[in-house]
Amino acid sequence: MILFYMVSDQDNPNQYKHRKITIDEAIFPRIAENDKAAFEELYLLTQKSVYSFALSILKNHDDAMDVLQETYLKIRGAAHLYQPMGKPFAWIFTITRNLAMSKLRMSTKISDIPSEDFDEDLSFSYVTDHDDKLVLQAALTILDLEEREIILLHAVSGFKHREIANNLGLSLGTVLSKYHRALDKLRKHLKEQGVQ
Amino acid sequence: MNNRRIEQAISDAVNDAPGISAEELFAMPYIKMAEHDYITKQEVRKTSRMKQFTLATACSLVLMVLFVSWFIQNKVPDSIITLDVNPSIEIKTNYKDQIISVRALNEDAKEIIGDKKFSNDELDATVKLLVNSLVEHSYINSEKNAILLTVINKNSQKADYLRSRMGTVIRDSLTEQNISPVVMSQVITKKADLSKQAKAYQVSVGKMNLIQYIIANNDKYTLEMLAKLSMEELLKLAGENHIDLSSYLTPEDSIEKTTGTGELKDNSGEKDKESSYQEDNSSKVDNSSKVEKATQDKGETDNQNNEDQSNKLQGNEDNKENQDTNNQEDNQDKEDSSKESQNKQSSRWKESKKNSSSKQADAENQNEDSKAADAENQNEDSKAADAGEGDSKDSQGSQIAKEDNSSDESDNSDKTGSSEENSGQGNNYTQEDNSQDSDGSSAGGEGSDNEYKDSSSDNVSGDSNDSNYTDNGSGENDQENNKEEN
Repeated sequence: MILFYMVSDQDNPNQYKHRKITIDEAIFPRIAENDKAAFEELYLLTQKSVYSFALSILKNHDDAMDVLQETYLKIRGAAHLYQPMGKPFAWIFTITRNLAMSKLRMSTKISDIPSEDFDEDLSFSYVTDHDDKLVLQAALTILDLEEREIILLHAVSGFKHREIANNLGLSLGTVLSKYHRALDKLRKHLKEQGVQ
Repeated sequence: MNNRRIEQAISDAVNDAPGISAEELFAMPYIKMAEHDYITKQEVRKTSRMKQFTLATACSLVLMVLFVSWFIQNKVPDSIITLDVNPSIEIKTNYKDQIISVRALNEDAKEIIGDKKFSNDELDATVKLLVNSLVEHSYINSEKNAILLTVINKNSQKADYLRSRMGTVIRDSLTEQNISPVVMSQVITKKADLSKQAKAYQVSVGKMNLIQYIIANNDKYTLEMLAKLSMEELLKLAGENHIDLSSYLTPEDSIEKTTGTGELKDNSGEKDKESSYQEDNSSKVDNSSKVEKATQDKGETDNQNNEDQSNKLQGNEDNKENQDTNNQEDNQDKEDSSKESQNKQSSRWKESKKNSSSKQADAENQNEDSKAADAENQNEDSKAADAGEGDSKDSQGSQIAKEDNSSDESDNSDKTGSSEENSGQGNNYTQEDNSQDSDGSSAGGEGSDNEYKDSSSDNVSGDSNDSNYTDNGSGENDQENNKEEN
C-alpha cells in the first residue's frame, strides 16, 4: 500500500504546481478580531479548495459560489469559537459540506443531469477550454460524491491523498482506491466521448 | 487522455470559474455566533482516537500474551529438584526442563555452587556438574555415598519421570568416579507449608519432608536437631530408631535402596555402622542370597556378593556338590526335623561342613522319599534357584541358595522352640537376623510359619523372599511375631 501510495503520488501532475497549503490555526483568533489581513490571507489560501469541494457536492457553479460565501461568513462568525485541533482545513471542509448538503436538501434542482445534456449546461460556460469543460462535467456527472470530492481536491488544491483522507475523515486506502477508480472511469468515459 | 491531463483539465476548469474578491466578502455582514451550530461544530475525531486506542490496546494485549507465554515457558518454575547430601541444593527448572536457577540452601552448598551460572543450562548436565562438585569437595565419597533426590512437581507423572531421570544421571555420574551411591529419591506434588519450614532451617523441602517423616515416627527428635544432620547421619539415625524409610520412599526407591545398600555394604563392609541400611546389609549377609536370587532373576549378577557369600560358607563344598547334583534337594532339607536345623544353627559358622554333611545325608534320604511327590514343585523351585544348568555361576548361586535355606531353617528352629539348643554366635546372629531383617528372614519366617515341612512350602517361602523387598510391612509384622516367639 505504501508503494502504491508512492507511485500514485508520483503520478500527481499538479504536485509541482501546488505549494503545500498550510494554515496557521492562530489565524482564526485574528479573524475573530475582525482582522482583514488575516481573513484575506485565509481566503486566498483556501478559496479554490472550498469552491472545488462545494462544486463536487453541488455540481453547480452558482450554488458552489453561494456556499463559498456562506462558508467564509460562517468562519468569521465562529472563528472565536474555533478550538485548535491541528486540522483547520477539516473544520473549513466540515462547514462547507454542511452548508452544501443543507443547500442540496433545500434545492429543488435535480442533481443528476443526464450526460447528453452537458453541452447544454450553461453553468460551466465560463470555462474557456471545451475539453476542460467536458472533463469537469464528466467528473461531476459520472463520479459518485466521494470520488468527486477526492478528484477535485487532488486536482485543484493539490492535496495529497493522505491529507484528503485526514480532512475528509476517510481512510487512506479508501481515498487511494476511489481516486484511481475515479480516474479510470473518467478516462474510459472521455475516450468514449472522443475527448483526446 | 491520461490521468495527468484529466486532472489538469479539471484544475483549469475550476480556476476559470469567476470568484469573489476577499474585500467583497470581508465587507459582507456576518453574525457572530455565541456557540457552534450544526454547521460549524468541530468534529472531535473520536473514531480516530478510538481506533488508535483500540490498536494500541490490541498490540499491547498481543505483546502481553506473547510475553506471558514466553515467561510461563521459560521463567516460571515448573519443577523444583533438590539434592541433599549435607549441602542442600535447589534447582528450579522451567517447562522445558531448562535451568532457571540453582540455589544454595545452606553454607556448604554455597561452596559447591560457587560463582557458577546455570541459567538456561540443560538439567542433566547441571546435575552432573553439581554431583561432580560434591565429590570434589568430598561431600560424597565411597563412605559417604547417600544422596537424597527430591522432585517437586504438581504433575506426578512428570515428577516421576524427572526423579527417574535425575536418579540415573546421579548414579551414572558417581559410578564414573567409582562411587556406588545410595540414591534415595522422593516425589512431592504439593509443597504445602514445607517451604517455609525448609527455608527457616536452611534445608531443602525434600530433606524437610524426610525430617518430618522421621519425627513423625519418633517424636524425641526435633526439627532443630535433625535439620543440622547430613543425609548420611539422618539415615543412620533412622536406622537406629528402626524407622522404615522404604515405606516413606516410593517402591522404586525401595528397590534402589536395597540395591544401593548392598553396594554400600560391599564398599564399606568393614565399617561398623549401625544405620538401618547397614543393619539391613548385615542381615542381608545372611539373606544376601535372597538378594542374589532376586538380582539373578532380574538378570543382574553381583559376583562380589557371591564371593563374599562363598567365603562365609567356607567348607561347604559338600553342600556345593550336593547343590550341584540336585539343588531342589536343598529346599527339601527343610523337611528335616528341628534337630537338624538346630545343629546347623549352633554350628553354623564353625561346623557348617559337618552339619551340611549330615544335612546332605538327610537330604538324600528324604529326597528319595519325596522326590517323586514333589517333582513338580521342585521344578518350579528350580527356576528360582537356577539350578541344573551346570555352569559355575549357577552352581555358585545354588550354593548360596543352600545357605539361604539353612539360615531359614535356623530361623525356623527359633520359632519351633528349640532356641535352648541354640547357643553362641549362631543363636545370637539368628536372633539379630530376625530382629533386623525385615526383608529376608521374616519372609523365610513367614514361609516356615506356614508350611516349612513341605518342600512346596519352601517354594512359597522362596518366592516370598523374592517378593518381600516390596512388602516391608508384612516383613515387620513377621519380625515382631518372631521376636515374641523367640
